[in-house]
Amino acid sequence: MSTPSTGFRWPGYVAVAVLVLGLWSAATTRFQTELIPLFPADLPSVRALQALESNVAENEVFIVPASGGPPSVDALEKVAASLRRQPGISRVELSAAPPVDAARLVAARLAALPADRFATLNQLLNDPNALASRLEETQADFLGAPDPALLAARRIDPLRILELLPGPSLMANADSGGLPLLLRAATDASLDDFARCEIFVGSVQRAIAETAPGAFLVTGRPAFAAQIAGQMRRDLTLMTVVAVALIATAFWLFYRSVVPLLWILMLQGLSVLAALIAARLLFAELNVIGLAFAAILLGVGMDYCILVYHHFARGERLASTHWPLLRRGIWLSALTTASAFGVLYFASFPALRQLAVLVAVGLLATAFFATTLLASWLDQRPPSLPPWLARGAAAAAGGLERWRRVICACGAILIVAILCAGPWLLTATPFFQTDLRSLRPLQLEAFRGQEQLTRIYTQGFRAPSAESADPERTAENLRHWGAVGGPVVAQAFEAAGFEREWAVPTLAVLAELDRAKAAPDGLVALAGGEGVWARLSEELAAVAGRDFRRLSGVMLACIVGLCFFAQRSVRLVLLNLGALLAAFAMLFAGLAVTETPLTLVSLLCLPLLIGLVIDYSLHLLLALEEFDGDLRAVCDHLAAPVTLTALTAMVGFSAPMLSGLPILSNFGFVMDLGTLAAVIAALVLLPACYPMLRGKRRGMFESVSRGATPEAYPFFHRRWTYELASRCARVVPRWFIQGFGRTMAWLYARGRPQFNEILAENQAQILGRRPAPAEVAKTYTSFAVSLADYYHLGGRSKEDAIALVAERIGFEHMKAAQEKGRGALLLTAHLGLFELGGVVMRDIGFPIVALTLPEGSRGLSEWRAAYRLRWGVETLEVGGSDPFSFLAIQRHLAAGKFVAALVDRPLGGHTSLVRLPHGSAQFASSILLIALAQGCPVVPVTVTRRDDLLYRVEAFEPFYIERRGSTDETLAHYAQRLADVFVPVIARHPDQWYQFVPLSTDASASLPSPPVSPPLAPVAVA
Amino acid sequence: MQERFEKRQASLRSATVQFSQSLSLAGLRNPAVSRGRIFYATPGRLRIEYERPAGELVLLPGDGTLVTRKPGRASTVRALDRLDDRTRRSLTLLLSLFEGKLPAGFSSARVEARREGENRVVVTMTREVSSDGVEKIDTTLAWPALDPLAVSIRLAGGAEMRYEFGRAERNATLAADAFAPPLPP
Repeated sequence: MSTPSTGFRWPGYVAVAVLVLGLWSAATTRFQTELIPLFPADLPSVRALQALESNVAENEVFIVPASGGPPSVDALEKVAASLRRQPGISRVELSAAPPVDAARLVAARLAALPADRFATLNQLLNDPNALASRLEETQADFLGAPDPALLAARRIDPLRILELLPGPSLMANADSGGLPLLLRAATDASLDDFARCEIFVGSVQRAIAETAPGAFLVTGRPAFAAQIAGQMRRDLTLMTVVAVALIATAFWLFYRSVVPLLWILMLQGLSVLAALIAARLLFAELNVIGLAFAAILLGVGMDYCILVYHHFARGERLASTHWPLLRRGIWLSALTTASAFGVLYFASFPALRQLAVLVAVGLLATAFFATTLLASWLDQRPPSLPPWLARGAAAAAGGLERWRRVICACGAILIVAILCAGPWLLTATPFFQTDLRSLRPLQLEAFRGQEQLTRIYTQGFRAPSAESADPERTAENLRHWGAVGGPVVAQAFEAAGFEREWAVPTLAVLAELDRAKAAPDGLVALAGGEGVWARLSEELAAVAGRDFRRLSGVMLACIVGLCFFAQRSVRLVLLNLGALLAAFAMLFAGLAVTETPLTLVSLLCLPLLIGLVIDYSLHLLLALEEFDGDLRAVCDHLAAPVTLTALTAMVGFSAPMLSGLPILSNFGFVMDLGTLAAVIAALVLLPACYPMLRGKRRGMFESVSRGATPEAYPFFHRRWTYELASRCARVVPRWFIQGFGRTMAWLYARGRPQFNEILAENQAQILGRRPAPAEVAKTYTSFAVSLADYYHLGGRSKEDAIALVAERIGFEHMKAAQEKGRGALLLTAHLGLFELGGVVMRDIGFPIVALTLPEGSRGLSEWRAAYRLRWGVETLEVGGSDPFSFLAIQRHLAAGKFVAALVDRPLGGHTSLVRLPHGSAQFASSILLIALAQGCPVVPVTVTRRDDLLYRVEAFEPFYIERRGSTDETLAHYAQRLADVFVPVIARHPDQWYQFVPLSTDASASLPSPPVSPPLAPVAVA
Repeated sequence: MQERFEKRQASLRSATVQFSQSLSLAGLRNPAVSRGRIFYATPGRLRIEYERPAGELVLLPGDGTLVTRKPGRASTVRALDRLDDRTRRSLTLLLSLFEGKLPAGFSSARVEARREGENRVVVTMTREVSSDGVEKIDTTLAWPALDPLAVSIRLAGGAEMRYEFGRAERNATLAADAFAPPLPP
């Protein structure tokens, strides 16, 4: 990540690249509007719907009457004439040919018959006598009182095989054997994009408007494409305008500023383009419905931008200590939400795969742009925070503190109630609605036209039913279908006095059944009508359930893993999960109260809600940890941005309700409920419950530090790495972990030439020569052995630790110091295993307090404090520049305790220049002032490892600090005295002097950046 | 001639006549021939009793209902105004012949008459195809008595229905229960 000094130049290049590639992707991605490709292609009902679509020509539209009843020939002729005059329409045909082959339709219905009825059909068609008998009966039907409807039905179906189908039995619209006239128009132009479809369909609609306005509907694939595209454009425009207007209003109400919002929206646009690039590369085509959802979901990314804005509005800058924490929180939150959605890439639904990529990439891109470009821009043009926000945050914090117990109790009651009511909620109808019929785009003229067309042409072949759309039964029937062959049936007709034209419809049906025996897909859809949708709903619900079971575990593991990675604390992860549980409990309670069912579409809310809750709770917990549970500070940083982001998210999710589609309204409402639940769980419940769940570790060590700088440590200098290493060290022997450590350290040293240089410079000041590379590398391996022993002892008793100390020298000096009752300062250098000094002191019975700087994370500080506490060594964490640290140290000294500290590294506070045999270095010397003030002795101590891998702990002669001129002169004198004690020991063990930071004043001046912490060395003081 | 026929039929109080009904359908080698007897009485009562197929009955009792019975089945009663146009008009076609009126829906039809041998043929043509598919009705009347000899109804799709009548017994005395619904078997 860039630093302020680099001016974020490279993120700017990234933005330009995203813009260019994004526009290219937008221009070359194929946007498809159809619904069916959103579903798993291997489902029988989906294959059936695809086969149904394939019956209709690509470049053809049908003009069907808007109301029921057969169309007037005259009106059709007029429209046809008008169509022929329109440009771009190549063919106009007015005929009785049905849009979908009627024989295929009947064959499909027959193939879906119950097995016994299908067997009857098979039997009839294979028995010439039965055929003759049927035809004789048909002739008998022509006797007696004429019945026009009966005549029409017998004309099409002389063998009365349609009577095998369930439902009403007469052809309602086929008149005297004929079918209604149908007007169709086609173009020779290629209709492979929306624009061309819109032009073609526009011509057809113009022709209708000129002759019979409102009397006809246009349907067919081009009409669907054109109308869906048009509607999506309208809906998206409306949703975007309304959402942007409302969000801008909310933003202005909160911050009284609009220009930054434009920046934020621009960056959001860049994020959408980034997502588009990924989708273009992975899929080449995108469903616009998925894209619309993704655009809404990207509204979550607004959160990151607002958090960044609030940071700068509070007067903080990139250089503020809070910024790295916020940046880390944003990235971890983006990573967690992106992972939660990324898991959907492995779902069975192509739509979800597209959505996973769009949202995951979009969120990560938003996090990137928010923490680089936006931060840089705001750093240069810092906004201001309206005073009322600070007052509001303070009031919120006060309220939380006052009502904390009530809030916690309510939360607990709610969760328990929901858990108890869970089984009932899950079984209650209509809690989960799997019916996808509401997905049908009823508002589209093309869809209404298709329905009308279906009504006209399928009523005569029995009303569609769910029962008739059983793909397994259809396949089974077709397996048993004995191909009859036309001649047998044709012969029966001939013998009965029926000419061939009477046999044609029946023969066509039989031919379709013969064909379908080889490829049964498609017949189900033709047979099913609404039944196919019911079947589709059932199959999709089954697949969604399977996916849910398969992926929810992975998703949860991702979330837990990433939360743990972010917080390095099981307790905090549990708090995250608790917030998640509470949010879900509130969402389900809200759904139950409002009697809102979940649909397959609104199921998408669940991963999104996970992302939201984790996002909010991560930020809250990081802030609570940073501010040590200070609700006022936490609310000051987060209450306003989280509330605003929740508000903007709710506005964003309300936008789909404007589309008027029930399924989208349901999605929007569920998501609004979910967002509300997420905010309450994260912003109210979590801070209220946090103090109760902070754990008992608070007593483990005392901290007077504020404003830690954890970003200065390597990423692995975290609690989890120490925990993991310590656990491993429990089960493997010491020699093994030492060997492993040496190997890893050697490899690490090979890749860090800049640190080798620093080490060589430091050692040269003691040795008077530049050490060979092998000697430098030995420092790494030696440090690895120290760390290995540190981890080794982490899982073992104090006795095991004592057993490693082979020599104890000069402890009589400390005994004398203890007897004076004024405590003592034990000062040491980064030598050997300095932590071991503490256990030896405690073993002898000296009360000891280790001074430390804040570690890479609070979790690690706690872990290391707990480590020392096992041996009875207390920990006092002090900030490097905290002017009041000395008060805490004095208190411990006054209690007669020994306070241990490292002095051979200049880390904040006062430093003094000391002479080394071949150079000079800065030693931390401010602690000597405390010895001066307290009048306690200073005891130099070293802990070094011998060749037999056992340790030697040596206490040198104590001395008291007395004034020698000015304070600086006094400190310089005693710092030099300490250096004089340490240098001979270091000279004997240069490989055990873990100085990974430059000591030479010349060297540090020549370095381009401020000294960074060593890559491996813990900054702990023992 | 039309007026004479209307006057003559208007004076008809009752009638009974043998008939044969031929339904010719395109592509059907042999027409379906049915036979039976028609009973008519004012006002608007008609009973068509089929001998082939035996037992089939169509009855318009004049109370706005239609009673039908298929061979071997129980009779059914339906209100005429609940029937679809097509069925109602096909049923009332013969009734209109006895009443000497144009069939329902033919009020604006073109009517022509021509000589055909000893007889006269009245041709009633619709101006456009009606919803029930009837295009033309040829009524053959005996000259000069103007007794209906045959009615040929041409339907859309090449189908044709032809009724041929025997000697009609005009103002015959009909059984009291001639128009009573049949008792259930």
